[in-house]
Amino acid sequence: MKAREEGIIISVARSLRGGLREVLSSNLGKAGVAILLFMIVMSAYSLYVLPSDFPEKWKYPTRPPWVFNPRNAQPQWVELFGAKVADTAIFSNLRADREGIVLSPDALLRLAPEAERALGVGRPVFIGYAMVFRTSYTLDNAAYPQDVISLFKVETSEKVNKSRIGVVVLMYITRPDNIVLKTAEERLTLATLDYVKIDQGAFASPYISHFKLNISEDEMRTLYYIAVFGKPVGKDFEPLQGEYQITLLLLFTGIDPREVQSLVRNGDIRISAEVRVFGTSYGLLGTDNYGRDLFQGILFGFPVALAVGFLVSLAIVAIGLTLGVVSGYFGGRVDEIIQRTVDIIANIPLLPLLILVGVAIQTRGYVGWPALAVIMFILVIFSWGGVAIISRSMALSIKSEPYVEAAKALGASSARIVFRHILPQLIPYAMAALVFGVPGAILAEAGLSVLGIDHGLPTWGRILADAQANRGIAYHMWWWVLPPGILLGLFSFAFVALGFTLETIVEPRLRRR
Amino acid sequence: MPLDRRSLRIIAFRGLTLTFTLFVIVLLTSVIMGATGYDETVLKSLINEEIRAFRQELSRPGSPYTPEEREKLVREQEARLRQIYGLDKPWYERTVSYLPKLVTLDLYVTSDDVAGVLGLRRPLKVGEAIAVALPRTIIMITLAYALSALIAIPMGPYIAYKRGSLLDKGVIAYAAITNAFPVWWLAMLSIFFFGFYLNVAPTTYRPVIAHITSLSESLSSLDVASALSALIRIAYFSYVPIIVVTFSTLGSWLYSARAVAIRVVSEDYVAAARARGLSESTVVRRYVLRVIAGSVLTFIILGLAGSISGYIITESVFDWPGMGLLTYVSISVGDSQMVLAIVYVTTLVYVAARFLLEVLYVILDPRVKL
Amino acid sequence: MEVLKVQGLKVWFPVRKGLLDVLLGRQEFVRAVDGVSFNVSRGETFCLVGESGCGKTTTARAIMMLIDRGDVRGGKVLFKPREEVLSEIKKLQPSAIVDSGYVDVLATRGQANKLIRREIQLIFQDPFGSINPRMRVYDVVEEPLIIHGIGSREEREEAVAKALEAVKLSASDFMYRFPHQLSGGQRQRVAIARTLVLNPSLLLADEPVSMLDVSIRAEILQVLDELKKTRGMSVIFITHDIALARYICDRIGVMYLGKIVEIARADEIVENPKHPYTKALISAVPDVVPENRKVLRNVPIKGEVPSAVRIPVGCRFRPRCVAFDENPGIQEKCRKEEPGLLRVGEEHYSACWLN
Repeated sequence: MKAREEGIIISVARSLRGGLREVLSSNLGKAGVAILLFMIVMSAYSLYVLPSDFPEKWKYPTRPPWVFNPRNAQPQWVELFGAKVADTAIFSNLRADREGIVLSPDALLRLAPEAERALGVGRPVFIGYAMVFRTSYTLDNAAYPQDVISLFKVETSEKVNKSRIGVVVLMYITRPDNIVLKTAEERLTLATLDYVKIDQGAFASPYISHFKLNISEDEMRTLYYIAVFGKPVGKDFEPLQGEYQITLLLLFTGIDPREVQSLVRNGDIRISAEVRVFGTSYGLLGTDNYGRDLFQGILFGFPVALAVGFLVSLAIVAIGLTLGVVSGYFGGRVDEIIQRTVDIIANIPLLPLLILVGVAIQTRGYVGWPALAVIMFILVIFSWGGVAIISRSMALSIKSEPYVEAAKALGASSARIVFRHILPQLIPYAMAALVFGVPGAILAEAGLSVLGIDHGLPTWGRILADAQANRGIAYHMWWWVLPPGILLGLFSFAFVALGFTLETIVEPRLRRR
Repeated sequence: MPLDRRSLRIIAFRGLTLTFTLFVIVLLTSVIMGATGYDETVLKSLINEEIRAFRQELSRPGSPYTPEEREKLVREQEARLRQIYGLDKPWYERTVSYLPKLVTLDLYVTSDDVAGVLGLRRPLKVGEAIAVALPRTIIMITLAYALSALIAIPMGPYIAYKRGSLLDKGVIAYAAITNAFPVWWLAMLSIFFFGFYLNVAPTTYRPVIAHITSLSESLSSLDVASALSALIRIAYFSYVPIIVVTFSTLGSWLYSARAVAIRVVSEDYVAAARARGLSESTVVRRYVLRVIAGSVLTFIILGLAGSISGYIITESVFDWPGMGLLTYVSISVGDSQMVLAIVYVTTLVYVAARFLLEVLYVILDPRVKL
Repeated sequence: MEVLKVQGLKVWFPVRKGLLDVLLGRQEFVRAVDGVSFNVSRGETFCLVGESGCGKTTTARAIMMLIDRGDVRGGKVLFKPREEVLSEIKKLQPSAIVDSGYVDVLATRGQANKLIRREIQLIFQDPFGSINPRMRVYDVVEEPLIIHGIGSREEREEAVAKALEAVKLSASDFMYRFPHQLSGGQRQRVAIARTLVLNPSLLLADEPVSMLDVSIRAEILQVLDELKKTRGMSVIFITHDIALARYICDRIGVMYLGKIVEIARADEIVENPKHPYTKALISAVPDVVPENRKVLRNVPIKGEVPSAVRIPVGCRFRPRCVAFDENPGIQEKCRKEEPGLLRVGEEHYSACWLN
């Protein structure tokens, strides 16, 4: 038993070493190895960085965290190539830099002078306790950011009844031309205080009258953020570059201001803010039409591609090798049955079948890993034929080698002959077949995704499918189409390249006798 | 060459095996559609759709029926539909009942979506649907396939001679790259690049239907001028897909042609022929091409036979209304009769091609054994 | 005392077993071995001589149980193993034992079969093919011991070293080499060592030197001869070279088209051949005296070996027999009846109607 294992392990190690030497002797092989190493490193990084519930998050594009990302944003680095994009900026963990009890309008204006200067607002009349958060954003390209969103993190002790404390949230943006816009005003409670976005309605009418524009308030709203970040030039707008001040004013109402003040000072209420300016560029690889970070999606694709490719290929080679050797070595009726089965699966139109099964499992409601597993299973079931044919013919030729006859004459069992004399000879071929089988699986998965067979996991194919379905091409969103496709191709290329170089090892063995 | 009884027997045996294979594949497809409940789910939603329409029809203002009568009529209609679609029977009876009709393609397209893809209306026989879709795939996929074969085959021996040269390495790298990057992805890029960016090609390819129809109409009325203009418009629609598919398949073709030729080029008789002072082109023509003709023929026949089933994903990306798109739409809307017909026809063609090859083998090489 | 008795052995291989043939019940056979009988005594070297395709290798493979049982269409191979093996087999498969100490080799199953395999060993013609190229010399020679579960690791190592020394290979030098690092003669010696570790009582050698360079043939033959003498093994030596057979064998059996046509002591058969085929074989041997080789001798044989699928009716040598043409008197008999082995002298038998 031990000798048998040694035989296999030694020959695997030996052909690995031989294979590596062969592979590294050609440029194509070197490229393959380099890409494969890159894939492995990225997979490890992905597993380390991404949370385990990432696929679940990705599946619901209209929920956080994606709604707090700019949509359709290009990769940030396009700026280096002269593209006019607005950066996405995230100012997190902002603490109130001013606070105090507001008993008169003057007191409020001392805390947040923007409130007075805001277009057309006039002197606000509030009484309560106020907190002010500030940050600034520099627009250094001729582009319009898409939105400004302020998120709040509220922590309270048990003493505080959150829904009893009302909060008025005001957001002011001070532009480089010193015009101040009140971009949001919302009445919430501490319990519902989560985020506010720019509301065009809050400044539409004073804006129109200030710039003497000839448009209605409704038209104003359709301008989106051009109004906030641009200045009218004739009938058009152009981006206004420079530094923008963003001021958040929280006013606590419905409660004695002194009580709130003491709660805040004692740390019973802790509020921090995060301001996100949605630019037109984001991160390493931009975002899709829902604001999902494509870098994260693509990062998740690395381990999935490796796992799907290797598992499928491994299973194909294992089944094909076993059945091929059994068929070749034992012959007879078993051989006949396996041969006929191979005949059938070799002629089966695999892709239609996969789509059929994909649609079937979808109508059955399978999603996520089980759905992917079914697709992989089908791939394996109908793909082992080629490996079986070649292993069979190799087993047949080895079987008639005198040294196998010699082993038989010595009284070796069939198991010993198969494991000690036949399988070790097939290992180099199995390695090459393994390598060649990997891209097939991953490309099939990607193709199915593009056809809309949705297993719900963020894979490269899935991202491409989303791009295709949402007309990413029509909107010139190259960053949505190129990276997943290139990675898919690179990944396959690595294995095809390795396979081509390994072929030179396998080929003479096949032709030697 | 006369066939002896033994060869005939081998041919007959292969014919039987391949027929059996075809049968099993069709059976397997029908079982998968039936046993997974896919077929049933789709038929149910189809019936629900028709019942909804029927109910609306009955409850239009001024209808003479009481609500009870209406319910009764709806129930009757539902039962009738269930019978028509075979839902009153278990799945194996339903799907298996398609099989005999399949041989003569005596089945109907059940989904309007499928007919719509082809630019046709129901009622529509599956045979007609295939007859319409097939030429569209042939002018795109099969043409591209033939094109890359035509380029690659003469180049094979040439590359094989220059083994290890820059050209050889380039061909291998090219083959590796086109093998790796899926053709449907190249299709996406080409729509972007030629269609949206350069603006020299269509961005949507479905309208090619109209031009193909006008071509066949003007051909049947012998109107040369309008046939020509239709042809030009078809060419405008098809040149990008053809370029993409050719570019993508050429790599594998070159690699195979090279591999086949290398085996022959290193044979002694080729060396002997060159030693005799025959010119390279004579050697290639007389000693290399002739020997590799068999393998090349296999590649060509099987490749062409395979190509008529279309490139499902690529055709879907281009929205090219050929066999691939027909297959995809039929499967996704659950038109099981159409699916069966497609699987049957494409497998039949492929199996027939393999049979043809085996007959050729037996005729050309009397040593072939079972 | 005979250690091996082959009785009427027939090995027929079916030709082309297509499905249709099976359905129609048609079957043709290659009659590779078609009724072969001979005995081998303890300590004796017996030679099977014949041209290629005559069935001598198939006979050896049948004795080695390397032929599918279904293809052995008749006859028996009876073998007398050592006492301890015999008593083991008695326990394992008493039905395989036929009269007093002989085991019906082809009837043995499972463990009994394995035990018999320890006793009969085979050396192959091709020293390049008969050793797994991926195994080291040590693994090759050790394999029989592992298969039969003999000895501890240390004991096996010792046995391997001993076997290598017995074939005159330095154990320390060769043990961890791979076959491709060895010459043909060294490989054949490794192959012999592999058979020796089990200490068999019968050794079959199938043309063990025909693929070796002439210069190293003598070496191998010497090794074989020495082993035979020191270990008291019986040897069945298969060769196409009757001259070689004469020098190393005690008795010779000449095979033609699946049958033994003449059998006798080595000197007797060479000096006094009775069967026309043997005569032809002997006259084809080049003369020892170089000058005489220049004289083109007339080898008394004609035509080609017929196919083993369609063996001639009557005497199977008839179509090639020169004596048949010269003796019109017996032609009728030769056409109709196949001659059996007839006694033509002391321990000398020949299958020819002329004798």
